[in-house]
Amino acid sequence: MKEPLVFKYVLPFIQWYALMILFALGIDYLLHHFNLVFIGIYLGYSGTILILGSLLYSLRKRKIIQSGSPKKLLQLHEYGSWVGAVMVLVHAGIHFNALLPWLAILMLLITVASGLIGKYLLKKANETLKLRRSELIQSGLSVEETDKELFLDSITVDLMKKWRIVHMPITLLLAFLVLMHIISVLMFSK
Amino acid sequence: MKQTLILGIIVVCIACTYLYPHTMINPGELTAGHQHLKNNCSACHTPFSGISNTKCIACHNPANIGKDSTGKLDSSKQKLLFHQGLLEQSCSSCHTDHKGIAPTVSLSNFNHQQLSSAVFNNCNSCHNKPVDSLHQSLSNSCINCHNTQDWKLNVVFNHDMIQGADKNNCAACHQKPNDNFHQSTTANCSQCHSNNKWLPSSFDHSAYFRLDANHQTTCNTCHTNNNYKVYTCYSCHEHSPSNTIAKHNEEGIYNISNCVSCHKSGSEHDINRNGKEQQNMNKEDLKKINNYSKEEDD
Repeated sequence: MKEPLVFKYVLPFIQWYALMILFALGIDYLLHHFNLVFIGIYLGYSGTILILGSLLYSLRKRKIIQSGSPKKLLQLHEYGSWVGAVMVLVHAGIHFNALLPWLAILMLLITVASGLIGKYLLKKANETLKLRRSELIQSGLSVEETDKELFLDSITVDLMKKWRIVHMPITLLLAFLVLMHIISVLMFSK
Repeated sequence: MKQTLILGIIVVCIACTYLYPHTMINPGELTAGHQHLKNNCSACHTPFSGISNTKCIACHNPANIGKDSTGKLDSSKQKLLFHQGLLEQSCSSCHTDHKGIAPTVSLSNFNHQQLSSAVFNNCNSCHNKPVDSLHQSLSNSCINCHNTQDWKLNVVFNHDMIQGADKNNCAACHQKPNDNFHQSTTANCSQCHSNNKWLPSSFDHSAYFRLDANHQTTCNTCHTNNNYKVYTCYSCHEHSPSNTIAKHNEEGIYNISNCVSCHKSGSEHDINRNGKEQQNMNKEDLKKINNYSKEEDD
């Protein structure tokens, strides 16, 4: 019995996602411990710039820009967004005041999750599913028997495929909420 | 459909922010006195221009701060009268909000330099003098020890401020160190220690025994049991009792109970010929010691 896709890909994804939150909590704790909370403000700036920079990949993918290696830009998109998200999470801290910034954080978390599902999991899971399917058919199983055998894996992949439906709209909402947050801070910060 | 949904969410967000700014963008609860302004940001804020002083003074006239609504002096708020004499009236340079309904501190950056010199030089016009015996016995010149940045930061206690009988009575404030040397001594601390720092002290061990390179060790190697009145030279392998006695006996010296009466350092050439024990020596012994020293010198 081969390892189900849930354990092979989804659990590592959850670990990667949890690591982001743990990093943010750890850095936030250290900043408070060493009385360096003011750094959190600058992490908001740098995190936002990093995430914006990582969007070069999206521009390249849509041929809005022509230069740059797509592979390297994709790596920048994946890792830059992740690091930027950690910085922004530290910037947000564990404060429950205004709703708007919290909606932005919620969108950020969903965007990162959908991004991780899309580019970190889906491709590998799809390849593995195809490979297993061909192996089972070659071993003499019928298509129906193969589908039955791979039922759980198919469900998992189908769920992952929904990332495309979520990733772009949520990213747009995130951008909008961040913009609202920045404008409100500029308007009322002093 | 998807685009309509996104557009709808954006419109709802903008509408909510406009109608309920307190819920949407308020960075923290306003103080109890400002609660009625919580959905009226522009009552204090001018967009992109900060907080106008005029808007604060419209309600909080500095001339009336510390007085009740009829203009009478409120004795419980008398300290607040310093607002009248502020050199620069910029409310937000000291005060802040959005720190909770009943914040413990509603000040952001209180700058003492803005106070008039009369208020600045009279700390007790705003601050209560600490009630402990130390502060009560001192003058009111807080600035001699404290600074305006932080009460506890970089405090340099000026002993010259101590008045009266306590001026030379260190034990009135300081406890004697809990070792036999300090417990047994009746000397005044200032004989060895200065007012600025406890360490280093001016105690000169060389007056009794010079600690050369071979004697850089902890106090309790020689002064066992924390008793500095007595010492022993037999706590290290170099000076075993049997060897020391034998060596001195060769020279006809038999009373070696008080090493430092002759040896003022670890050097064998540094023998005090006027030591107390020499009084008990006969001339022949003294000659032997001198000869011994000369041989070593050669």
